[in-house]
Amino acid sequence: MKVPPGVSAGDFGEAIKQFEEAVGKEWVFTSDEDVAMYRDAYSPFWGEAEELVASAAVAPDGVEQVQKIVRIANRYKIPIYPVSTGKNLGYGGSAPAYSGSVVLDLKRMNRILEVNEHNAFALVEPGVSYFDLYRYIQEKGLKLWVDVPDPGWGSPIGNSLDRGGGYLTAMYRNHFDSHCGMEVVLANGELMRTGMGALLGSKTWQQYKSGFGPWIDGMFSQSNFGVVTKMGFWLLPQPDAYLSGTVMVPKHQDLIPLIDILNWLENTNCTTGMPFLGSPLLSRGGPLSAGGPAPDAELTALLAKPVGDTLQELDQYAQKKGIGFFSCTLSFYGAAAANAANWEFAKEKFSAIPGAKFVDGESYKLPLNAEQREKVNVPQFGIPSLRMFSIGARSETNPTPGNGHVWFSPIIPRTGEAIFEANRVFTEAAKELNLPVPTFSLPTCYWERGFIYLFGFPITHDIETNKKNRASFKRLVQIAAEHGWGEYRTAPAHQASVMDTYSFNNHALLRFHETVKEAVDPNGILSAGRYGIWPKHLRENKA
Amino acid sequence: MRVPPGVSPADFAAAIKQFETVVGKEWVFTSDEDVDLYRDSFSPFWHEAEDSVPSAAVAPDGVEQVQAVVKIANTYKIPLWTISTGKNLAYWGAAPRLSGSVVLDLTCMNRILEVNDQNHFALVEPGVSYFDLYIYIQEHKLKVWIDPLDPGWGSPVGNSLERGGGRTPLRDHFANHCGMEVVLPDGEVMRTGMGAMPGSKTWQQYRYGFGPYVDGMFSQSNFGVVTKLGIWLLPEPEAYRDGTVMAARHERKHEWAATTVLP
Repeated sequence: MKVPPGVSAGDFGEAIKQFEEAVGKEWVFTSDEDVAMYRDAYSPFWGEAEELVASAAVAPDGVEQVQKIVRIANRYKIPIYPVSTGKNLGYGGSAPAYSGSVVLDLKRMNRILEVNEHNAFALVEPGVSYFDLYRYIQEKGLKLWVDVPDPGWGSPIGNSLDRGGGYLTAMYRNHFDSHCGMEVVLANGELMRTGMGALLGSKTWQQYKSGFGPWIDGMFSQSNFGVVTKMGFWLLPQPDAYLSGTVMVPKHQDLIPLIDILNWLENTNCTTGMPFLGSPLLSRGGPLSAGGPAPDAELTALLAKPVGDTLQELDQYAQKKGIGFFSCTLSFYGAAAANAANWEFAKEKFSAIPGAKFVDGESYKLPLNAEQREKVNVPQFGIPSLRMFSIGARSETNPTPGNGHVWFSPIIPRTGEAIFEANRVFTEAAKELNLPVPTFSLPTCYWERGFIYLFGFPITHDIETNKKNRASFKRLVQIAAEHGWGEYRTAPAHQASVMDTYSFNNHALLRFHETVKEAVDPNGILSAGRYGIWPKHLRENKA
Repeated sequence: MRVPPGVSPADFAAAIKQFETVVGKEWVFTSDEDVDLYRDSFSPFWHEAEDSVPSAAVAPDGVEQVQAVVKIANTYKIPLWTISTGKNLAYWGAAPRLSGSVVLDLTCMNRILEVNDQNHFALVEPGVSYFDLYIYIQEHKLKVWIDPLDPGWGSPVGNSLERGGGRTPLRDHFANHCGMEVVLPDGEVMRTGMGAMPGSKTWQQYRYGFGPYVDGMFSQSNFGVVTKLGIWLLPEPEAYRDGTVMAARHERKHEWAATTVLP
């Protein structure tokens, strides 16, 4: 049996015995075989001494059991690491941020406590998955949509606390924004409810977020200050209809007004779904390829050079062939007539860009029928799936797929200028680090006011390759920070490096988190190291 | 001169002198006439012993001065009560909760640091009023709207921290802030969200930053002095229209009741 660092074998044995009394022997896992299930399949330290691994796992079923476990952990100073479903592979899976911690696995707490159709909200436990919630809503015939992330096997609570995103209208696709009310077991075992839920017998826990006095919910996201055991979510009432449409602009410089107009349209709520940026020109071959026609010899020659060096020539080629250089696909959720009017209005606005062309996209009356469901990207319709995992999976054309990825995900300003600058900077960085140079990268539009780049860093089972990739990742974080761009989220292996770049006034914000940590978790038992926040006695681990 | 509860007159005098050194003599108020301006004119305790009145007020102009004032207050254990413009009369105005506190009046900090009409946001200090911000936008011919509340003399920073509301799509003022600068009770200055990164380019474009999101801790609270706040603005919309629906019966029926739509 593995033992957490700094804990005697005797104390650990005693703690395990007490965990067993609290949750039942079958829900405490100590064998190597069981504990290995909590390894991070995408660990950038796979097979190395530094790999973050659990010593044991305990799976409570209910708030009282969570409280008991937390109290036992305090008694024996056992580091514990709560996970909901632990399925976000690209951001660390279920492995603890501090190796040797006991995973507090909340998967058994999978009760859907309420789904309210009149006021469009749900109250769930952490073990509930997007699939569970979706099925419950379907079975009851409720006309509500859940905003789901790409793989639907994760937990709305876990994803919201990690500040993940989906596809629907802005507030819903920001999963932390769309939560309303929490129940939290604090590090001392006390139970607390936030927002209106702090009022006994409250009738509006899921209807007004911030309650009375300081609004503290954010403290429990990307953090280690408590164990969230219930959380409310706002759901989207099933819209009447869906419409999408694409605008294409001819010259590379048109990206700048394209984004400005997009911002205007989204910030005035003309377009409500997540926009997608593309490049019809560069996708004829490059990594943005969507299976369009292969490029001819002239384009192939142009694309052999970094895009930054050939923009004028590419402009000429695009104009000659009548291909759009950049594109933006908008989506509309609402009354069919309003969607059509909004798309017409968007076209009128984009027509300020000379040569802009438009393609009408999918148009559906909702809900989708079975045939439509087969065609669409289902998360955009509130339907969870695991289709995302087919990308890069083993296939005839890809017989030796990678072992996974970690995301490098900086936020950059939502302007065309920033996209060009980011491409220049990341192209230079790729050359410096000997990484494959992307043709041209476009950011995603999860968040309504800032862009986010998502670069998947491959994970292998080759130690030397992983070492090199870790060093490259670290360097990219620094390069981004030198340009004022910071990551919104990262896997535990890189959390301290990223937190280190948020260093205004000698890391005032991190020092504030450490002050809070000491106040709410003096023994430092909860998720040590998560998001770079270490309890006092482990702070030398920070580096 | 009034003295805060639990503070000796000598300590208070020493603190006042140091406040004067920091902000200038003319920005420290101790006369009854001046201090009475900070009374809550809608006080439910008016003329009663429980009416909360400050002992003095100090009006810094700049983050460094706020930090210095907070450090002096720590040295002499002087209770401070922070206000931005202090004009929300029905919610206590400028008067402190603990009678005898020194009002930390941020009205001098009235700089509009940025209004961006490409990404539709503003970055302002606490002394900026809705009028100030509106006038600035009009004078610079920027095509953005603020979401004012009913009386426009208040502060977007103060109103957001109090979690006030307006009328436009951005009417939840706390929900539509993005990024803070805070002077903590120990005098340290901290920036939240993306602003915690030196040279950040997205302080007003992504609210949560990295790690715990602490902004809510500084709303309806007493954990810090907010000295800058980012606010999302509404690009000037194309058109406005409203309509009213009237339900025929008082009960909710399973089917929506007959309705009348007004133009």
